[in-house]
Amino acid sequence: MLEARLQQANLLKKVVDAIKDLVQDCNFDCNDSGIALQAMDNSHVALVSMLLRSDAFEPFRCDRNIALGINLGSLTKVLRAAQSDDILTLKAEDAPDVVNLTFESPSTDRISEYDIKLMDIDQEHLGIPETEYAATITMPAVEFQRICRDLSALSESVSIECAKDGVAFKCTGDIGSGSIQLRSHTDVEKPSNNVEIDLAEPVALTFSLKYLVNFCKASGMSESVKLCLSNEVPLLVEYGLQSNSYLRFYLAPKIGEEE
Amino acid sequence: MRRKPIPRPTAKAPLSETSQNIQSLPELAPKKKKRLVQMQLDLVGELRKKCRVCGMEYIPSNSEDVVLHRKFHAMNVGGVDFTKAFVERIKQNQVWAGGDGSFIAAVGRKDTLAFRNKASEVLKVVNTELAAVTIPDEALWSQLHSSISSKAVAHGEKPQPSAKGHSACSTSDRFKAYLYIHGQKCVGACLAERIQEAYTVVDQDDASEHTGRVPVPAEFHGASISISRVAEPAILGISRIWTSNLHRKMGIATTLLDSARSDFLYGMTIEKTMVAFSQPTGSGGELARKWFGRRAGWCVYID
Repeated sequence: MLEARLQQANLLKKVVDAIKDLVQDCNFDCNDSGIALQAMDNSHVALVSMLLRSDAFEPFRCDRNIALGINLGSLTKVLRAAQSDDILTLKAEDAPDVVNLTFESPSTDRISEYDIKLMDIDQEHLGIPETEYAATITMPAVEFQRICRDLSALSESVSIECAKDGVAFKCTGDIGSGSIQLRSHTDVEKPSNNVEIDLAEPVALTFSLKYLVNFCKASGMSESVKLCLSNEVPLLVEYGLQSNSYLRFYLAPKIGEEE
Repeated sequence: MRRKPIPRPTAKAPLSETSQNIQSLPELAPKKKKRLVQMQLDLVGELRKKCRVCGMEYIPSNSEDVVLHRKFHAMNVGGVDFTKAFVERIKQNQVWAGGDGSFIAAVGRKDTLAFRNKASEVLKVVNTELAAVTIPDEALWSQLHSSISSKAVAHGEKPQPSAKGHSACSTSDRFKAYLYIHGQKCVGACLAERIQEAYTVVDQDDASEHTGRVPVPAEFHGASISISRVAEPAILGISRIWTSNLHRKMGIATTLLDSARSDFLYGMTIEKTMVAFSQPTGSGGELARKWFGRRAGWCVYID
């Protein structure tokens, strides 16, 4: 059986919020190392990969590998009933029909319990190849969110150009164009404000802003975000979570067609 | 040539204040357009997916394909949609009525084009699911009287099925479609055909019966059958029979068969022994075995 106790329901709430617009139904694969999720959006343009390691839970017990096929819409409905600082416990049998969620309020003695019916999702495991990225940019998550939001007002796509001296986010739309330049920056007082650029070779890629704005819903989960790019390879947007857990998004680039 | 432009400005004078800039805009736009194509992630081993319920293969990442599949799936699983008005109209052809407002309507050559087209539409779905060939509309609504005599001669048959059968067949339509309508959907269909002869199905696994392992082979027979070499007279051929996935195991196909038997020839109910199936699918064979009430000894005809 599975029993996982999360000190703050907020973590799961935010994860589900961030991915529910990309995927509707997906399997939560539970094993003794933690809970993992991998799903592609319907159009096969973006991929979500989440790992909540067992260390993130206290306690965590999973005797057998189980896949919980959950409709994220239903999960959102139930998680809405949880206060963000509630203690959340996930429970499931070895061959489950339902997953049980318990919310305990730390201040009062209120305990609420919900069961969500599981579904049989036929989904194969996606092997994500390990990639050496040419450029890795670490920046405050809110900064990335702001860039995406501001540029999405102008255009559908953004080109991310990373060179030695910094990274530029550029877009051109019907009403005009916009460009945001970031340089490496170290803030001694607040390291979370750092902008770090680790570059092996210059890269320039174009991505759909619609998806990036969607990814940015995870901004509240982590102070900084890591963007990994290589030419003609999907972009990796990674939000690091507590105890080595992560929420990763992959996005296929847009490529200009020869005319 | 010069004179012509002069009357124009006077006619359109109120618009003359429009900025001159506008004209240049549409020219610029297409120049700047760099066509960007969204790439897709290629991580799944197989791009195509086969729906486990309706059996359609499609590419889930292609939105057009997905819409097509959704349509086909709904039709396949839930039946073919009819409009309310059409259901009311086709009710006049009703040959059987069930308690819950469902009924069976017969559509033949003499029916209106609208009815026949709807029947063809249903048969299209049926043929796709059964992986059967499409019967062209001309053949579907043809009469049989001319070909009957020639066929009988060609086969050199001594005994005609019966005097009654012969006189009726000379005027009968070749095909008749029976549609089982439930609510506003056609959930089952049967295409009956006038035939002359059929071959008896012989029991394949006599051996297994002797060893007493009856329950196992009786569960599933597969699609393979063996037939006798001698043709027997037959009247009614079940060319196609189908029930939508959601409505199986409810006796719809059996009801369709009984309706076809009693309605196909005017004024007589055809004996079960005079009914034959076209080459059945696995589940078609199951139906035949259930309806005839025996594992072998029922007839199959070759079309």
